Amino acid sequence: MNKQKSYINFIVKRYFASRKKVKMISTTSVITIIGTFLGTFAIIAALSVMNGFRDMVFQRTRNMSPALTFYVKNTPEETQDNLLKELRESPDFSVATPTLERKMLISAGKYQQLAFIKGIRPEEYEGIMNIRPYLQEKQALTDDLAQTLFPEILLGLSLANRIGVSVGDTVTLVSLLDIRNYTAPSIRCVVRDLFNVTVFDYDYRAYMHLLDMQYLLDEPAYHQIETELVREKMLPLVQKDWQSRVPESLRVANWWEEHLELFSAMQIEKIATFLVLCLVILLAGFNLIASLVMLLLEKKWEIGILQSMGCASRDAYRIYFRLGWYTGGLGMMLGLISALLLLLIQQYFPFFVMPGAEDVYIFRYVPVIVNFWDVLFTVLVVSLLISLASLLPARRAARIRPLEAIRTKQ
Amino acid sequence: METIIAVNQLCKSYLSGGQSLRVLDHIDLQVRRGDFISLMGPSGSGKSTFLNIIGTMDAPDSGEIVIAGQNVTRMPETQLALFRQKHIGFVFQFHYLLPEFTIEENVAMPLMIGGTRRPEALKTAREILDYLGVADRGHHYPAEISGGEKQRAVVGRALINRPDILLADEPTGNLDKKSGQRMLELFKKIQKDFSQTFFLVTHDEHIAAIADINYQLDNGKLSKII
Repeated sequence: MNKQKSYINFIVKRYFASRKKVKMISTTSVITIIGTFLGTFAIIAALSVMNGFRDMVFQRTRNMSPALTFYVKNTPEETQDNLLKELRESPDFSVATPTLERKMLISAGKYQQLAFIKGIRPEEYEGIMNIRPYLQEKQALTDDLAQTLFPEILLGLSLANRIGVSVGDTVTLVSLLDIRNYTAPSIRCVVRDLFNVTVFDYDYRAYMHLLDMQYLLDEPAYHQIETELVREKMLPLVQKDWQSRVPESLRVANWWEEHLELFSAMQIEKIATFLVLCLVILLAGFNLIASLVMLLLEKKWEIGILQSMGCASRDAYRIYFRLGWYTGGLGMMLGLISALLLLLIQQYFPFFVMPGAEDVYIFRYVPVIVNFWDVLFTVLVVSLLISLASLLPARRAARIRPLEAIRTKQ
Repeated sequence: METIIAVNQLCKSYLSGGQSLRVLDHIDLQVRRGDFISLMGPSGSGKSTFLNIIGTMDAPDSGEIVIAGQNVTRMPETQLALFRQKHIGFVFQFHYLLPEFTIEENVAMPLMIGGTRRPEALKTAREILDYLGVADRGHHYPAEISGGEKQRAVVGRALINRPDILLADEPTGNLDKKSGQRMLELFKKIQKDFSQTFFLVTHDEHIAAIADINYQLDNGKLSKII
């Protein structure tokens, strides 16, 4: 710390402490401190909770999605079989399983709904999709069709509610896209179980045995080959490698790309929340300007006297700029410390229960993830707003002429 | 003896009622180190304006001022602030002590502005206050001491940097007769002890009488009173 700085800080500290004597200035200063405190706290808390929710959605989406999907729908059966064999033999993959997917009309009684139905090999598919935690009755699809009387189906809870069915009820699947000779292929299935992932994309879906679906669609080929990796971290490299090995027309997509719209929407929501909460800081910034300008009017002659003793205009600027920072910065630091303290405790030792969340989201506590870059960015933006708000009074202080200022006291 | 203030052909005008009023008209002045100068004149004659220009707080329309060998007439504001801090001390009619700071801190302020560390500056301030006879008031705030004590503290603040010139604008104007007399005696003591140059502005002949050299400012013209 240089010598000049120490005298400026000495004056700033004394001015900051003395403001309580002037009621109006004190009130606006307190509002500024509260405003920056609340704004900083709210931004960091909101972003951290959104991170927590996003992470939860990521985890659930990942649990329900294959790492890499090979879209083989338009390739010959022979190519599909060869690729499936190649993938199963590759050391990159722990699972490679064929699937079929079709948008169909699902009906029960007078209720109908269009939904995506996926045909899977139940046992193999467990390596891809960990659906068990989300099943209401913990009853997965039967792998061996010989042990079932009717085709079975797993329905997403939202879909089931839409058509008014529950476990054990019968639904009819009609593939409208496969109408031949004025009739659409259809099949009746028993609802084996309902799942509730609390991710909209999934809770309007349904799963059935691959063979039942092939029978329904009269289609022996597959639409996709879904895979899981031995080493998750290798995903980008493996994807690139296999994309170059398969025909160009065959698309290889990872789980992230498959849900890009959802993730982008969540990111936009996070940015929008941040911007809206910045308005709180902006409001505190206007308060800061008001309190500093009032203080400057009150103490204009003191700046004049300091200037007569050798205080330069730039030092008068620094005094008021730092005074702004003492006020706004205090609020920001209080907001930052209390937010980090509470949120990190919530992240590692959750205590804040979200009312009703256990029933709806299958978790009890508010999910929180404190992200270093979010915190840093928040501090930078709040700092920028405090600096901008301090700039105007500081520039006015720097423009004070000593004689004119001293005369205001006479 | 060394010339500490040299004023050459100094002019300053103000606009008054739409007309230009020249308060300083081609003024020349030489002040030697250790001189005690008084400047008298009726109200509105431009005494304070002249003092403020010498103190670099105001700028002339034309002419030149050299203080301690440096031409301050066209010095940039940042350099002027530094110049004031090193070479000039002010004693105003009103005390103008900063209310949030103790007397010691007020007196130490010019040193701190100049870059001296606070403990050292406060130590020097205590020594000055002791010299001025108000050492026991060092820890008090301006609102807690008398007018005479305040004015002594202001003298201390003006002296602490050992300035080349001490400018005083009606320094006793706000004091009772007794306190005013003590203040003048103090000025003479300081002049004697430190060979301090004084430039005092007053409209009171009795006060002016303590100076070694007296000047009169009237209708913009400066004349020596013999």
